[in-house]
Amino acid sequence: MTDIITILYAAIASGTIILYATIGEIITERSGILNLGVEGIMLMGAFFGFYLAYSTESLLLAIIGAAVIGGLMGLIHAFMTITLQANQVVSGLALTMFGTGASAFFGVSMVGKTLKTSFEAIPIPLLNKIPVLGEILFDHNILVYFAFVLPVIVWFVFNRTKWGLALRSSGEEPLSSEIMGIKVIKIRYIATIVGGVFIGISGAYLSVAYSKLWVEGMTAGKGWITIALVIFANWNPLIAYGGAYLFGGLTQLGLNLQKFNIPFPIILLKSTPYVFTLLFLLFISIKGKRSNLPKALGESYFRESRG
Amino acid sequence: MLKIKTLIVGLLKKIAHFFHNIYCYFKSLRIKLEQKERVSKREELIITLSAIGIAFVLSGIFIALNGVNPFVALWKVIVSALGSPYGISETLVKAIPLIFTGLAVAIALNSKLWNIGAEGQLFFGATLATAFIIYGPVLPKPLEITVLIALGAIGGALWAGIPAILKIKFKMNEVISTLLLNYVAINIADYFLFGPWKGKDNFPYTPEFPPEAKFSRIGFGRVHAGLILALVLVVLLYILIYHTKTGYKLRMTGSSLKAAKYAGINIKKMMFMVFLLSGALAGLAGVSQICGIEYKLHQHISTGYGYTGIIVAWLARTNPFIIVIFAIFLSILLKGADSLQIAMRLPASVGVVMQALILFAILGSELFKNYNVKLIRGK
Repeated sequence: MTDIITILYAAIASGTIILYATIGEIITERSGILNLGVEGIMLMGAFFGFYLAYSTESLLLAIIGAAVIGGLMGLIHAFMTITLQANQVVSGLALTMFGTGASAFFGVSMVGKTLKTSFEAIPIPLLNKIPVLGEILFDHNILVYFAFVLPVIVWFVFNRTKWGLALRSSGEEPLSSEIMGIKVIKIRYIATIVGGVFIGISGAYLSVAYSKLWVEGMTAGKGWITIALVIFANWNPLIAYGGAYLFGGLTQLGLNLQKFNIPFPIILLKSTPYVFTLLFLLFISIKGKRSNLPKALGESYFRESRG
Repeated sequence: MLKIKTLIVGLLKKIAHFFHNIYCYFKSLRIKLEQKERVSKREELIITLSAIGIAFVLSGIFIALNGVNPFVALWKVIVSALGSPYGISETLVKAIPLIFTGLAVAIALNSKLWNIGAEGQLFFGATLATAFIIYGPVLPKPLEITVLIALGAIGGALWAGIPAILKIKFKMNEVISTLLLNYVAINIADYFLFGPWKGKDNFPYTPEFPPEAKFSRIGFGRVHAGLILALVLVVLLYILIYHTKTGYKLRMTGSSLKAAKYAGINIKKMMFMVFLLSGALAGLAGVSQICGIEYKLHQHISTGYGYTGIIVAWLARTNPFIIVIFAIFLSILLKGADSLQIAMRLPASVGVVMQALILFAILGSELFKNYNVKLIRGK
């Protein structure tokens, strides 16, 4: 029993990494921009977050720094794909390469360093006394709690505000939206930057709060898993909870297989996240509908082409 | 006193006004694009070269951030990669896998398919070939080499077959599936390297291959017969793409799915073939690395050749001959980055950063190839 509670607790903690990034990518993709640079943005966020946490010992600065660097990376992608009309797939790949290389380049000095301060678990009074659930859900650090409410906020903005409507219509019918008076270009810029901010924060959560150290290439494909989870979540921030935590749970289960005396080469367990992601995608392409796929996703939008 | 106050307020107002004017000026700027009717080859070349120039300037800034004089670094890159017969031969050694992976990505791109998984296919091909060396009989050299090349190609094709089936049967996006499978393929190689194939000293590499399994050198440094294989494939693929019926179908599928459908082309079959061919080419990069250079399987047989291949393919587009040129260009960069790491103590990742900047610059320059870009004032 305690084993299962430990695994579920770890599932929430590791699912949070992907949850932030998934929410960020959903915001960006809903506006019609496909950002395949998640892996690179996460790494930049992870490095700058760790660097600031190490050198200033201020956790707030670490998170803000990671958010800013994430936003800047988003800005690069927005400039490339919106203003310069570049192919979104290639720009995203270039961003991943840049983030991987630059974080490793600057990160050399941070390898092997340990943090003096980190995010401490803050048990929520009363709620943490609930048997089992309290232990699993309400004894985490502040970033995990914020991840509990973030998808709800984003869902609310998407579906109950005029900004959300403008964002979604930019991703569906950019030309008609423009005629209706929506500034598609501005909205796409903002969505790509804000998306980058949350992806940057997910990186900082990974290095500062989760693993508490910086390792070159430490995201190990989590950015790509995020892109798959966005599809799994049908671009809906509320389903992203399910995707991220389910994914976190399965990964933890995979990593803990030996505990249950299941003979499997330990080294191959490293593959479980990627295989699970592929199975997730397979599952939804057999079962689910991708009803929320933004119609204009990945296509360049050309304001001048209007006339 | 009052006078000073009004003076300061006046000054502040003027400054604010000044900045407001600048803001208004930039706000009133509009980018106007006019489609060019025809782009001359010369113009295209000039734009590409200036883009590469911009990428070098940006890389220089990056290098300067680490306290190294960027001009010295650039000189070092050129001298180490091209300044001596040894340097040139080592650059060519790095170009060989890039020609394979560049061809692999390009052949898929030609049919509007993304193969981001060349890295994994390279490893899987290499692993399969190594399995034969370890468990199979030692054959006479020509036969052994043929078997290894075939196994490398089959391994790469098998690994690319998974995302192919996922895309064709289940409409799964191939960018994500090919990329995720890279991690799995490398993990499988790790399993053997840390397990059954581990060296006697417990380090993760296989014993050295027998002489029968090694590619011959061609008499120029460490340059090996893999180069000849690569160049033969370049010619064969050129003929396939531009001078055969299959190639015509391939190009048609790439330019318009609808047109291809109306022409009665079996698109699914075409896609599947393209994926297998692409994977096979990437797998050959793996064999060429282990049998031509490393003579064993270990974790570092590729320094991201599968990913660099994407840049090669994007720069060269579909023409196999141009792929050779850009493969050599990028190998100069990789060789240069290696020597920067050794001589100037720059982190090895400087090469990756430079590659990314080149990709960004080329990508951004494409707008200028197809349009006349003008900044104008007013709405």
